[in-house]
Amino acid sequence: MSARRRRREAAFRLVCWVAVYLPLALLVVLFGHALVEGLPRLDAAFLSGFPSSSPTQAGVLPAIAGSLYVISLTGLISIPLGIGAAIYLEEYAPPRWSGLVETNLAQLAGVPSILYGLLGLGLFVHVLGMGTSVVAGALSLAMLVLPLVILTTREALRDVPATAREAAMALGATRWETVRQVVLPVAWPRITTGVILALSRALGETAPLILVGALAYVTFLPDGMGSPYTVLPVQIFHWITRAREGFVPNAAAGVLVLLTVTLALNALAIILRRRLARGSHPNEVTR
Amino acid sequence: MGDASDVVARRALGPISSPVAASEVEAPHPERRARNLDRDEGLSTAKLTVNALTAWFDDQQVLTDIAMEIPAEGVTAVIGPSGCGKSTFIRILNRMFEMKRGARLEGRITLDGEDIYARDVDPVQLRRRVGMVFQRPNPFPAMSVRDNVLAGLRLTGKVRQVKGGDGALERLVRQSLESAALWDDVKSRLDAPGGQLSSGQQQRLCIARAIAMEPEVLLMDEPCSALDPMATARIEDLIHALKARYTIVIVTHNIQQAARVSDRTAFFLQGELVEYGPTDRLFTAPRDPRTEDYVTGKFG
Repeated sequence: MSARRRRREAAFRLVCWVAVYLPLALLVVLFGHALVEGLPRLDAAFLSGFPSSSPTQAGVLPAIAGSLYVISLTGLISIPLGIGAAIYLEEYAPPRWSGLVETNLAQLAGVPSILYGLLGLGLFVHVLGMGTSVVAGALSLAMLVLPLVILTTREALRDVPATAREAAMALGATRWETVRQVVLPVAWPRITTGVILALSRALGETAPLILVGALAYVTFLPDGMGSPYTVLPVQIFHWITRAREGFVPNAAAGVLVLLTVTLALNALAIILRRRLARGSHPNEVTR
Repeated sequence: MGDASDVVARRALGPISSPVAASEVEAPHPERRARNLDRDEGLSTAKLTVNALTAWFDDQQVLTDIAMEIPAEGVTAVIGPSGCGKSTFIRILNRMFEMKRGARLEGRITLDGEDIYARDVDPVQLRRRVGMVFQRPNPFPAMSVRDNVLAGLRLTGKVRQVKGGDGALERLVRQSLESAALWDDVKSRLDAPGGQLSSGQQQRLCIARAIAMEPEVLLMDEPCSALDPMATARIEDLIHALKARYTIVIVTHNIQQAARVSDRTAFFLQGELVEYGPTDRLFTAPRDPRTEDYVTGKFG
């Protein structure tokens, strides 16, 4: 190898190295900062406390409860709809039509989340009169994750070898019998992963929920679908806006809680995928 | 068809009078035979008839004006070079053809005299009568050997209709595996995943799976093309054993295989049926020069 080519190789390797480690370093700095700021505030009282005008007494419990409540409802709405839509598009719809829908879904998946907030505000909060309730928030988030759920489910279905479908159909199985008993069991691990990742994205969404009325100061736990609520990212956002009153450590501790919940969800996705994939299909590509 | 070559395949003359008669008549009615089939070639009652069949994928024509009768007895081989339409042809016989994008066809195909493309025919029901074995062995890899055999019954919910419970199912599994000459290989590991068998065993498992549904016709789409010679020989023996019970149509690009296993051979070329007749005659005295060139290995 000539010296010139060797230099090029070294330069390219350096560029790749920077591309990996610079973002990693940024993440470490951010996380470290939150850790330093927030850890002293992160104790049992913080986790089980309610908002307060005094930073040292303000807790995050209503936000945790609100987040879990909203995200569960989001899942309940978006999972059956999304998987159903994906099955229809992949297994039943005429290819030209599903191609058109897919293009638009990809666009929707890239739409800024605040637009879903605006739509939620207009449609659910006002027109349908749901007000600033848990269900309005969950519906808005469900619209946000629906394209993601549909797209990842479609990909999972598409990865099931055509020969498996043919085998079932040739035995006289209907489409639905084929999908339910042959296609879905093979696709399930990847569908689960995709759904959980989509939900964990929704868990961190702030903008749409501010629009549809997640509150900053909630001194009670949500007690029903019509209940007012707040969620972790919104709570964090409000604490940050009150930095001068000394709420920054609260915000940092909130970030740690949110990160923990998100990481736990992602870990769950990995565990579920491993467990479901075990012995399910040798052709299954582990990703 | 309609060219000068003396082929057996020609436009069949409409449906056989009654579906029941067609399936039950043992000795062919002399008149019917004279009408539909070549007396000299000794073919008997048709199980499947194909009439003026033309098929397309989008704008590309893949089959042109095919007319052919497939008798209930014995093995019918469909040969021809790649791309001649032979696989498309047998997929039309169990309506798997229409699952491909852009597939459409004209013509009339009957099973026991009934038009299988009639509006009131459910392709799902048809496929229970016309089983299929594919080019690559495709057992359900995660299912056990036993469940693979029962897969058709389970998928279609028919498993609940089987009288006699688990005992009857076990008997069905055993019978199907025995019929597929696989029982001795797998009897000690019925619970092992189907994907763990050798590819030859997997293909016989697929045959067992197909015959557990008790079809009337068994279509085989190049069933040995992914197998080694030993496994191929076992499948061919199996075809001999099964032909007494099922109407078998086998697609193969292997001319020798057609000669070994079949009673009748149809030669397809570029979407046309060039020649159709008893295998012995077609291989020893082809009537069309293209057939001769193909079976003597001048092309293909």
